[in-house]
Amino acid sequence: MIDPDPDSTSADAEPGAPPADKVRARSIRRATQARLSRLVAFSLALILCTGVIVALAIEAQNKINALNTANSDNVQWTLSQSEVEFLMFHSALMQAQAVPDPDTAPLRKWFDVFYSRIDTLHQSPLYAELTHLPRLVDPFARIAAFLNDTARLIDGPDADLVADLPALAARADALRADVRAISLEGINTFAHQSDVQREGVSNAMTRIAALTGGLVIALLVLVFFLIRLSRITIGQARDNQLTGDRLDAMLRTSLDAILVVDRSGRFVEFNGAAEKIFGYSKEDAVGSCMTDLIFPSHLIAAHAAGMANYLKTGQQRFIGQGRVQLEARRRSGEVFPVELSIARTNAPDGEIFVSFLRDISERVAAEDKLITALIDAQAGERAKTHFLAVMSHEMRTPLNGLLGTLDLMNGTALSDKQAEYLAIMQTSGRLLLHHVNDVLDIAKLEAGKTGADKQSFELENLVAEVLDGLRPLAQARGNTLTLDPGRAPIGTVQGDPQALRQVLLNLASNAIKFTFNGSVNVGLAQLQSQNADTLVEFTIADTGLGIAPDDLDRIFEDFVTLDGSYGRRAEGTGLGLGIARRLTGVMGGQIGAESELGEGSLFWVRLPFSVPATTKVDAPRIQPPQDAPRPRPCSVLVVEDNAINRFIVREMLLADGHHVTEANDGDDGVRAAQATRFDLILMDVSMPRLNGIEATQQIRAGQGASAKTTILALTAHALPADKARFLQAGMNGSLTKPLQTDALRAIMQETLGDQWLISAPGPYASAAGPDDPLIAPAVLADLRDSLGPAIAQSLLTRFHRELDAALLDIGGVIHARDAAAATAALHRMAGSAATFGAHRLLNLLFRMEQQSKEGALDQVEQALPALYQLWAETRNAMVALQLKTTPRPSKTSPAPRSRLHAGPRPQPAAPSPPTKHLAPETE
Amino acid sequence: MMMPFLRSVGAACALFWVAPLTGLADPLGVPTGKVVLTVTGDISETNVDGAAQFDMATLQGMDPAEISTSTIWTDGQQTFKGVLLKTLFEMVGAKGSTVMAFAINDYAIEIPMSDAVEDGPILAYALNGDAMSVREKGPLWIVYPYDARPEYQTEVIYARSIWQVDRIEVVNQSVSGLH
Repeated sequence: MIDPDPDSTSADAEPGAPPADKVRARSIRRATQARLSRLVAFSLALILCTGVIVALAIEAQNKINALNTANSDNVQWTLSQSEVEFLMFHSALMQAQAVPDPDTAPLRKWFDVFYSRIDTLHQSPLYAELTHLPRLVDPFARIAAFLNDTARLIDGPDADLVADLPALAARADALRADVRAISLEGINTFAHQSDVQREGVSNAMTRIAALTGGLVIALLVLVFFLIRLSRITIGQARDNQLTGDRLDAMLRTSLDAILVVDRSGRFVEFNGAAEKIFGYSKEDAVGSCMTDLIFPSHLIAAHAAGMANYLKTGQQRFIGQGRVQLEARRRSGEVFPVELSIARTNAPDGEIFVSFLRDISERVAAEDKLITALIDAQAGERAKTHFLAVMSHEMRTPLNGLLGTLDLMNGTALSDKQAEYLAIMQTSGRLLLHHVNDVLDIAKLEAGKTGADKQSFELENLVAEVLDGLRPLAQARGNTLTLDPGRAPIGTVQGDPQALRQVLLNLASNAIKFTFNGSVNVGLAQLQSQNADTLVEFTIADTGLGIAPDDLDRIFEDFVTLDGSYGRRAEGTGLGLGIARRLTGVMGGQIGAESELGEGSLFWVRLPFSVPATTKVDAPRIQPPQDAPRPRPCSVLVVEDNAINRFIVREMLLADGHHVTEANDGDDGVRAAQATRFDLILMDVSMPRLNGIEATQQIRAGQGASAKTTILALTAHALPADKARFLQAGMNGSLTKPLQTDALRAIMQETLGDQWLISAPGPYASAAGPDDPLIAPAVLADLRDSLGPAIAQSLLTRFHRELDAALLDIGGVIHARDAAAATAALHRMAGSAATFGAHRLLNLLFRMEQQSKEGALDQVEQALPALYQLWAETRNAMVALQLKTTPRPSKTSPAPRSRLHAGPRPQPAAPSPPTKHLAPETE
Repeated sequence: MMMPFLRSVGAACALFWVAPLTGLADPLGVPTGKVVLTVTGDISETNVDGAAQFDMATLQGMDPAEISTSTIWTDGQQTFKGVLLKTLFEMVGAKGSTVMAFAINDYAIEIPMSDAVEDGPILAYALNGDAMSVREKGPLWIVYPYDARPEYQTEVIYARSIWQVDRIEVVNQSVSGLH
């Protein structure tokens, strides 16, 4: 568990050691110095004491020796004894004189004794002082002379001795004073000596006493210090004991296992929690090898390597790294997850590693359960989404049939009653389709539409178009629907027009639904514009019921209908705002609402768009897909297994003047494409035998007549991933069922238009010529119809201005003999002319473009006057037509999008030019 | 190490030399010369009138011992020759705990029997090879080996160093009560 880890070396070694460490180091150093100086002082005191004791001991020893070995006899006794012995000699002398024949033996004896005594005084160093006293020099000399003289007599024969006795007695009498003097002087001298000696002893004793006193004081000081030291030691011991007890309590009560191991990986400490977690007793664990005991086998090698590396390099992998999650092994062999932290420290016996370890198996199990639950929930959610997608798809297929057939029926002769019923059926059908689409949209978004599409489109046009579509609904509820286009037109932006359309449609229709006899105003404002990015705010304000503050938070949730009674008046799935919220999010924008109950609501959407650099030039060519002009008649192969669908598609195509060939399935389709060259193939994707994708691949792979023909998928699969699949298979685009005329026209225009312009002249081109109409009012009407009069007008004006400018420029370009620029300019003009139905102009431009492409700029230059002339005529014709076209009220159609025309736009409800809602403000 | 051996050889020789004169029955023999020492009291061996009397020849015939030492009464190193008190007391069979030694000037001192040890005091009869006259504190002088042990340099020992000694009485009890 305790693996060494890499990064942190000792803090002391780091240059940026924290100040706390420095302070600690300094205080340790100071403490060490204090301890050192105390030790030195103590040692000095000890040496001093020892010296004093030694000196004292030596002195005492000397004194003791001096007392032990007496260097003096009893001198005074000796001195007095000399006088006694002289007197004894004198007495013997007197006795000898007293009798005529005396015994001389006592005389001789006492002479010898006296002699030896005096001799002793001379010989012994003890009496040197005495014998040398000036006062005694003479007495000693006289005694010595007497003794020497008398010795001869004493040693001589008795007769001589006896004869000389009187003389001897006389000399002896004379000597008495000398002997007495010596004796007395001796007393004096030795008394003085004794005094000196006693004084010396007394002094020594005093010194000893003083030294002893000093020693006692020194000892007392020492004792004091020792007591203090002892107290400190006891205090420290108590502190240590307390610390130890605390540590022990911590070890015992810790819920985490506390493991301490030494460098060799053996346990030093193993607390109660560790016993519980691992199943080993402390006795078992301490001293045992950590890896043997608690490491799962798969970690042993890694630990050994890590530890070896640490011991070698000091690099730490886990130590001091905070929480680490690993696995450990119990006594039972069970391997379980643990969370641990490791620290290293130094113990008296060397480095140790302390680890707090927590058994997190329950936590991990709980987490696993949560994750499993989450996965299950997500799977359930996906299943639901999938179910919704499948269900809505399944519902759309029959709806497709119903609505298509209703559209077709609308083109037949109907009684008024029938037309009314049909209108109701269409309304209901489209509402149902709308709901189904709502659900499918949610499913699509849930299935992970991650990014918005990027297309260029005219922002104001799109908003106006959405409002145009909603006008009938607004009218039905007595509401006015107005557009506030803001200060400056924003024009062309890049973004996801479908998503924006949907958001605005949902918000505006919502506002209309909850407003009766009031007004709904849609505002448009550019909040920021930075370089190529712009932030646009759309506001949808109504004077409707309003929303209670409590409900404001949840209105963007799915399936929310606020009020039952209200809900009856405003039918819906409750998904509209949820979809708007999701789509806004996908586009990177924000959505919100403010409301005052009873006064109305304001919904706002802020969306970022990027502004394409070539707005001006491309603007006329931007065409709302649903309002494309009818393409040229061409031959179309429809491959579709569903008879109803095939029927609808055929009818739509036939209505626009195309030639239709049908195939029942993929195989038939491939065979037909092999045999005949078609301008377009519409290919259903889901078919028995051979599906649309495989069929497309076969057509593309083969050498058949239609191998290179544009193929469009017809599909109910609307998920983004599918589109990529279709393109990969070789298709050129896709159409989502249920198929609508406008969408079909738009995509045909988009995919076939250029092809037609560039490739061989089709029937439309061959038909072009001076006989062509100068302009096609139907095209302009359709334009107005689809874009709204205001935008159509602005587009037309822009078209005029651009063509004016382009025609001015083209002269210069051609004169400069820049064929490529001329071709491009002519192509652009041709595109614009086609859009606005200027057929004769288009024809001329097309011819000139061809010439320019072939490099025949001279011919182009020659045609220029005719072009100017033709443009002037076209322009005048367009202005004249515009003046003629006056807005008129139209009968309300409850269906916002009902434009399937079998034939030359026979609209039963609006018989002549089918211009709906040209002046909405007046409705 | 040789000394005890030589001394015992010497003693043996002396015995053989003395024996024909004194008779084997009386180890002390009767002094023929001038009596220089009379031992009385609690002794087992006697030769004259219940006392043990010694002439110089007898003493000189006994196992001799030498002490080389300084004394407080003489100037310089002296060599004393004589008989160990121990040897003397053994010879007379002294049984008492104390002896009283008397000098010719009637100086008297108590010597505990325990002083009579090997390497202890001797009854010296010669100083530096010569016999000692009375004038030279002779003829007999109890001398301790003062330099050998500090215990011998005390006033008590100096007092026991009796010169001109001529009588020794072995007693059972301390007379003075000092011992």
